Amino acid sequence: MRKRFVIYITTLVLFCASFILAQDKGPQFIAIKDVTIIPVDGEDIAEGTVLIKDGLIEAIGKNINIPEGAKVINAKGLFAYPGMIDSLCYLGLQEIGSLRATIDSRETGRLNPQVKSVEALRPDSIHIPISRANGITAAVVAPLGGLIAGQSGLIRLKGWTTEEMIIKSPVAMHINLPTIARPRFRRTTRPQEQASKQIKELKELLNKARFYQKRKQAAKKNMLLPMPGFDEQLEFLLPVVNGELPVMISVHGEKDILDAIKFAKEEKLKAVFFGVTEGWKVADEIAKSGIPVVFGSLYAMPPKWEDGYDSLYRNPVVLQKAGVKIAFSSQSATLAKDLPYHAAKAAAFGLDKKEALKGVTINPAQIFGIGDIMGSLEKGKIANVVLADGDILEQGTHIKHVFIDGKEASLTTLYEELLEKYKKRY
Amino acid sequence: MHGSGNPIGGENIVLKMKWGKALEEMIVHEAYRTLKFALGENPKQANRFTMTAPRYPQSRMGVNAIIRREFLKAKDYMEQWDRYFKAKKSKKSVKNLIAPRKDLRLEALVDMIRGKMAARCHTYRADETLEFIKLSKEFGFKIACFEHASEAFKIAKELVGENIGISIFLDNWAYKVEASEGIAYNAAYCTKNGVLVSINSDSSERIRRLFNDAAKAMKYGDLSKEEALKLITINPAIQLGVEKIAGSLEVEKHGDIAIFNEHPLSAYTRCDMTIIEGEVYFDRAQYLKEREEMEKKKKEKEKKKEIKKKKVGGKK
Repeated sequence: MRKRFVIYITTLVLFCASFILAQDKGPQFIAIKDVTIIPVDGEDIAEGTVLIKDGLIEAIGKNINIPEGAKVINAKGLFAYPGMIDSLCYLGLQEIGSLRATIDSRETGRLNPQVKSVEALRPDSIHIPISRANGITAAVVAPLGGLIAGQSGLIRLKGWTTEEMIIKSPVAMHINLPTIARPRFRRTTRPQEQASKQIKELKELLNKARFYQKRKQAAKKNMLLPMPGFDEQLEFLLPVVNGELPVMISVHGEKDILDAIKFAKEEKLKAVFFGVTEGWKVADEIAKSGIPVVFGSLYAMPPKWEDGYDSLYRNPVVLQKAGVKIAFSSQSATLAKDLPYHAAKAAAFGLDKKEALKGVTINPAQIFGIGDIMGSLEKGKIANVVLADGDILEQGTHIKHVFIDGKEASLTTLYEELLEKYKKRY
Repeated sequence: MHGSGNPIGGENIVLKMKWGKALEEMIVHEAYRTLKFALGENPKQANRFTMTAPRYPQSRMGVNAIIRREFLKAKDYMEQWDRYFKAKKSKKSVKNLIAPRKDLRLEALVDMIRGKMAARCHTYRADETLEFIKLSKEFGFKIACFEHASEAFKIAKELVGENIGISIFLDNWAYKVEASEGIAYNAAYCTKNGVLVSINSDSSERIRRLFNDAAKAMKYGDLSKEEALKLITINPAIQLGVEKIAGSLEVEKHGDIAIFNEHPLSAYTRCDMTIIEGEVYFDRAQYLKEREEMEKKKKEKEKKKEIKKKKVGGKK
């Protein structure tokens, strides 16, 4: 009996060892040399080296010794950027727009703090590799709809399962205040909904949640007090009222923004604003509040013609100059790959090019609380590195290599697969 | 251009963006006449869920059958008129000769058969595109261009053979099933295989950044800057039949010029001036000046209001 057990144990150990050894087969070091480094939060480095070890950036700069046995990538003529971060998208939640069966981004009802976007995430989505092949390595996947849409998650754009992809979940609770009513086909304008009404409702809800928590705590201490009945909505709002989970508030109108600032302050929420279409009208107030802003897709028409044809494009420019921390988002799944071009559009209308780049790298990392491990090329940070043959925000630039967690990721997408398939015809 | 809800839409026009001018001055008469056709999910109402009663057609079979039916009607109509004219001309004049009833819908299709008008056809799937080419041969009409043509890369050979161009989105895709194989390489791949390609916007928003879309053809499929720029200049001009007056900067052509602050295919570019036939229709410097003045006026108004308020407060 004992003999058998020993044999069993030794085979198990051998099996495990072979597995570990097999996994360790790859080179310990990856060295990207002769590359122009754009670290984002530091000075650019010409002909530098990025050394990657165990998924992290081991060393970066000039005159770096490349250890023996390292896999060397000669990147002459290429530029090294940190992987971009999409601050809000529907990757993995939306596949084909018109096919309801492939859309999992919106739940019915107005108050859904309990739903989590990552639980509907489809790692096999055809759109994820396309974003990755354009230099985007992480994304906030957010739910849509209602007053409280649900919880978003931050994912890396690589992995076979959701578990392998999650960096942080939940990352924020999503609240939607009214958008700006646009006149439709010159017909009479819809009456503008006021955010104040929704904010009042939210305040009541948050107060209820606080009271619910107090009653629960009291009941735990004192057996004689009744335990409050389980309330799903209040239960999932507790991390919000406790300031543990940030809220991303989609807010647009000038007055609504001011109301939302007041709301976040009074309720002591960790707030991030989304959209902020009329932010440029109250830039100083937003800057004073310290609330960061994530812009929605700039592939949109300005909601009010009297604000000018470029009001959406100049919005980031004005806010950044006022001192607001800004980030860009694709607000899409099928065109999530276009994230860098939203930033470039703002740059075309006056945003400093470096600030535009920060809006898709270090700023989102800081906004979502991972600024110490991601968002720039720095020693000790996760090795999310993109090698491009030009400016990463330019449409004509080719992405040559993408490293996620220090490992080279595939750049093949459905685009190439289909193209190759039909090339065989000729 | 007409919408794509019906297999046969109506006649299209080419406009110049002469904002503020009378419609008659905006129409480009040099362009040749085209009639809109539509295939696939839109005419078969595949994505309508609030339908009260299903309408014929509900399938691609029905779409083609409708187009064929209308052309057969048009042929019949042609024949009736031909017979009428023959009878009128003949020496043995028939008594009480009645002319056939005039049908303006069929007149348009007769113009198609007679080659006075060409088809512009909305299509996504490669198979339906080829079926439409077959239809055009059945009735002898010309195809000016295919719209969307998401799967043109699958049938580049046939398109080159028939000498038909495509007007496509660069990378807008997967918004419906028939658009879910519309890859971003379509434009560059078809161009390199000899198809005349243009990029369209199909939207009042995307039209504002058409040059950004064209630039992506350099990324997906390695078109040169010149080739990519052609996708939104001379190529569409050829497709519309206005290449003699527009689409490039040449002596004797119309003075339609866009001035950018950087190369139009750079992501950092911005249009600073638009000139049509020598007349400035957009000037960013002027726009900024006007905006500044408007903002000044607004501030002054607000100040006045505040002073008034203070005065009222003082009286109390």
